[in-house]
Amino acid sequence: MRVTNRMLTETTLTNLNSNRERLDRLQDQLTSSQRISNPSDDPIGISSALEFRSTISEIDQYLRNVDAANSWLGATDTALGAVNDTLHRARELAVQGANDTLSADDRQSIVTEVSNLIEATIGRANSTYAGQYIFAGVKVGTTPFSPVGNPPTAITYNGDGGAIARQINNQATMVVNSTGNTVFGPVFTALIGLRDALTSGSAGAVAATILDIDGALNSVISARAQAGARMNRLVGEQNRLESLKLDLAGLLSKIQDVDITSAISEFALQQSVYEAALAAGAKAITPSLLDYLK
Amino acid sequence: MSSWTTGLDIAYRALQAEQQAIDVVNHNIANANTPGYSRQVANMATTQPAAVISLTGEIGQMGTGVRVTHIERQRSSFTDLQIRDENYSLGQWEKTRDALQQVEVVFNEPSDAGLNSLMSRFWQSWQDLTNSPQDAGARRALVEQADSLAVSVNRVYSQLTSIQNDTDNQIKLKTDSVNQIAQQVASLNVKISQAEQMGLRANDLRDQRDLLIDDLSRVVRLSYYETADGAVNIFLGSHTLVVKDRVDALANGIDVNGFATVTWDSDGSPVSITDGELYGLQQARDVDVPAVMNDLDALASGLITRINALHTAGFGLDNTTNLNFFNGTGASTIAVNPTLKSNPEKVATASAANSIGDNSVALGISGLQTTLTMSGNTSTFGQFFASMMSRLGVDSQRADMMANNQKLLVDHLKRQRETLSGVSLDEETTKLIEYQRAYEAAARVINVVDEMLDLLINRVGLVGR
Repeated sequence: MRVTNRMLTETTLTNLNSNRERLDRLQDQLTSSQRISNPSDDPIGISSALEFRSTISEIDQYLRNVDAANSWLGATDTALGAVNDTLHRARELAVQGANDTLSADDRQSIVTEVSNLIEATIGRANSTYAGQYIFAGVKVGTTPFSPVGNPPTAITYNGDGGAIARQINNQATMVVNSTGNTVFGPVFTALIGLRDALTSGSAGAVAATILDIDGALNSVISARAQAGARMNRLVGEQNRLESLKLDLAGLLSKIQDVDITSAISEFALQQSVYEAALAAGAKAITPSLLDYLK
Repeated sequence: MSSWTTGLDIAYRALQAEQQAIDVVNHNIANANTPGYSRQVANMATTQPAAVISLTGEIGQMGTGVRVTHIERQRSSFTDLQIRDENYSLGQWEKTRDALQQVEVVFNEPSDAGLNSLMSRFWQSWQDLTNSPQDAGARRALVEQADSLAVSVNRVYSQLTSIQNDTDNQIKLKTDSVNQIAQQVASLNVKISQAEQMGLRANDLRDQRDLLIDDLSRVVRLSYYETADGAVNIFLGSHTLVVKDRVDALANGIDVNGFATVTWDSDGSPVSITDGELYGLQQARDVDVPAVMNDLDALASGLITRINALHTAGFGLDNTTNLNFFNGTGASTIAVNPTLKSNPEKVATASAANSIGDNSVALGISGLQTTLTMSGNTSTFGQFFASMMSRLGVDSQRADMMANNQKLLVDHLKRQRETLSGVSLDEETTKLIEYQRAYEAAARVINVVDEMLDLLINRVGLVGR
């Protein structure tokens, strides 16, 4: 076969070019640490990479939602815990007040304390989280409980029975609010009943309110238990989401990230191939018969 | 009978022949790097021998020297044909690859700035709003995020349109270049016929013409044959492009989309384009890029319809209802309803009036992220987009692979052509020495004859002087 000078130069150029291209691609991968920089780099991988990216960002969002739900439920638990303590105190006062031997002064000071308890409970029932009333149903912008008269003879509920839900994974939502009416209705009835019975001075009437207070305690305890159970479920959900995210991040990295060790060694190999091609090219192109003629 | 002059004549012819051969070598060396040049060889043959009658009466022949019979171009028309047959596909796949790679750049995936990430952030904003529907900040964030998604979809779509338009322009330029090449081939046809009718070999003109046909074969699939007078006639499909000195030029018409068609200027009928750069460009403009545009359109219109269906039924903070979230019908027109942009409190999150904490509509809309809404309810918006990118990747990868393989094939064939037609400086130098030595020897013969004549004329006949 005849080999011409142009064949030598073109072969050298073609080889140098393809070496340079491979080197460039490896360098690009190394500096960006991404294996895929265009869909055509790995058409199958790109689809998984994009889906994993979306799913990871979804999970991040669910984790944020879980946080938000948790905070809401935390605020609920704090409010209900305080009300729980209030009712226990009210029950003690009711037992004291049911005693016929109490002086009028003592009875009056108990009435004052119960009135304070009612005030405090109204405050708890109007608790907010992030500017939203948590016991108002979906009317989160309206003060849910307002006293009628002074001292209050009744407490009006301005909220509704609407449920507020949080998306905690791609399939489930969780209701985070407790309907204010259901929880606080019996509490206010019991407390106002106690105050009125104490004011009336009838020990029997005071004793009769103990049953209402127990009923109200039950409604608060069950609402608190519900919030607690929801928080437990959120902890489980959070753990599940976090481990899922970790798994997906691992898979995504496998598809998308460069294996640095192998990329570096491949780069070094390619570099020496390139240098060899340069050296060979330099030797192949230069000489011709002309170099040896005088 | 041999005369004194015969010797000088032979030597003189030898000098001339070697001189000519050296000129050919010189021409080869000069054109070692000229594109399309085929090396030439001076073919030498003995001149007409002279009849001689020997003393014994036998009739014989006496050599009279050498002449250069013709200067031959080293070229294989079969290899030319092979190269041109592979050139069509090379041109086609290169153009397809170029267009698809541009499309890939437009989408810029995977990255944090691509549509995939923007969609994710859009859904996240809806989710954030479910957590605090009454929060002005969350509403503002959603509207901004939706706006940047819509604007990006518009931008990508318009960039795809630009790629289509660029491709269309290239088709017009390529049509012009076919006409130019055809014109040059026609005028070379005339020159070659004229030269060869005079018995000359139009080597360099043929090289030029072959180079033009090589170029043309990349642009469009063609067939050709050479006529007896040395002209080449070229056909596209069954229609002639060049017949001897006549050109049937191409022209551009306009199709229903306002894009250029390629037609015959003479009668306006469409040109049969089955391969080559023109075909690749047409495919990119009419098939490959529109496929991606249609997918993007489907994605945008899916988002618009699905989100609006839920949004119009919902209520904003100020009890506004029956508002579209997105205006527009597709990728080029999708835009956030301007009313919502100036009044984010009107974004519908609740399923009833006066229920500001009710996030059920927002939950419904953010739930669309994981709902099978696309491709006949078999994939989510995200999955649809991912598979769209996957298909783009497959197409682009295939075009790249085909172009590379075809390049290897054409390069291989070109090497084969170079083996025969290329100039080797070593070879030419060797020949140069060879011819130089022969020239020197012929000159030496003249010297010898001269001395013999000198002997005869100046030194014979001095006897008895």
